[in-house]
Amino acid sequence: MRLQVVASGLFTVVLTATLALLVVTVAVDRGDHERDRVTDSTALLVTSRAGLQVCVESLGSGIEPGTVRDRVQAGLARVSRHPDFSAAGLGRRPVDVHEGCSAVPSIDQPSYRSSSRLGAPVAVVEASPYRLMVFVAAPDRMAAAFDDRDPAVTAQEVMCEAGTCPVVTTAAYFSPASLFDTDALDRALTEGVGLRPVVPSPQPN
Amino acid sequence: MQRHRVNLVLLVVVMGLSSVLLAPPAQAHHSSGFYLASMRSLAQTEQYCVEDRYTSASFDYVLHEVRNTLVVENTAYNWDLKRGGKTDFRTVWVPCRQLNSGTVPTRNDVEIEYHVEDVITTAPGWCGGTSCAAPAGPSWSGPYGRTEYTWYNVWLRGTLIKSGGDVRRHVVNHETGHVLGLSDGNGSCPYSIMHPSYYGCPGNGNPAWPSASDHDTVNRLIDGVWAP
Repeated sequence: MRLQVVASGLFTVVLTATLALLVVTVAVDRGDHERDRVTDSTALLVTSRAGLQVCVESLGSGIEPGTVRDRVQAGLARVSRHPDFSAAGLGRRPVDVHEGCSAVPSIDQPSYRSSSRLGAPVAVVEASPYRLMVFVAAPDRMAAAFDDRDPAVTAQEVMCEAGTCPVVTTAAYFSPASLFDTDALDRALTEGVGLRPVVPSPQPN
Repeated sequence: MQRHRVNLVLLVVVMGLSSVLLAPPAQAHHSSGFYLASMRSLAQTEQYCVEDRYTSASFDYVLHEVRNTLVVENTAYNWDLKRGGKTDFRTVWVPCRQLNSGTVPTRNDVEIEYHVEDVITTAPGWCGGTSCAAPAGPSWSGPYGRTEYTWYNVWLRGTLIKSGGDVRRHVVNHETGHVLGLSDGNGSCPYSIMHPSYYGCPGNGNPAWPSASDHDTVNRLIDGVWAP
């Protein structure tokens, strides 16, 4: 009888330990699965982004950050009428525009060269919450960074997996002039969030 | 007796939970999804340029080696002119840096940039010291309901290109496999340019050329079929 009680107690201990081990293992396993991953099933590009967030920053351009935010917000409202906006996952939540990007613009990276088409994106393990970073720079700084391109859309972050390093975050650079050019603004924002330009319908004669 | 029954029930529940929660994921297909948008167009060739900034090899040598691999040698199994000509690597341009806004094509017209560097310098830390590929210009494809990429940067270790022969062929074809939508090994080892010995497939060696299966996968991707 005593032996039976000991055996039963031992069995309970082993069972409890197994259950605890299972819980810990599953937690670790789930944690690994929840790490940020690249995805091509939305234009948000990584699994950690639930909606379109954009940040704006003035790089000593003389334009007030609030003005930059208002211009970009108005531009994104027009871009949200793009026929693919919702299908691309960009309309899942209201578009969120933040002042301040908390990131070094790629044109300020030591390895940046104006002749490079890719720019100098940084490799990240966790992508920024911002799918697009908007920077406004003075005209001479734009010319030094992009020659005659204004606005310019470049790569800001890449994430490496399975032998490839896809761009997961883009940056759009404007001079004050191109920021206030509505067509140029809309074109760059459209490309910046990963949509193709809308080809205007032919006008009837 | 009652206690034993409870323990047995608990054991069954734990085993059931284990089998569900710890089951390995279904085997992934080796397509990466990082797809070059121009691939589906018969009219649009894959225009590419070669850059030789950080290598002791001459540009002519580098260009010759890359183009030979992609177009000239082994036309049955190289990547050129497959799927009815939808892959097309015949149009190569001078050093990428010479393509600017005043040239035709401009640099923005080029879909693939091959950068040959003895030590990977312009993508520091990305490639783990070896060759790699970076799709850029993410762009949503409405008809296919997925993000595709308008161009690719490819870094090739100059020392491997200069090794010549099958080493050079393997490196160029493997990285171009990425451009065409293939990813590295996922633990399985079908015979593939993407599953060489250094990715845990010693039985495969380091193939010089894409396999028939690689071509099948790329053909499916061109047709917009993403499932295995």
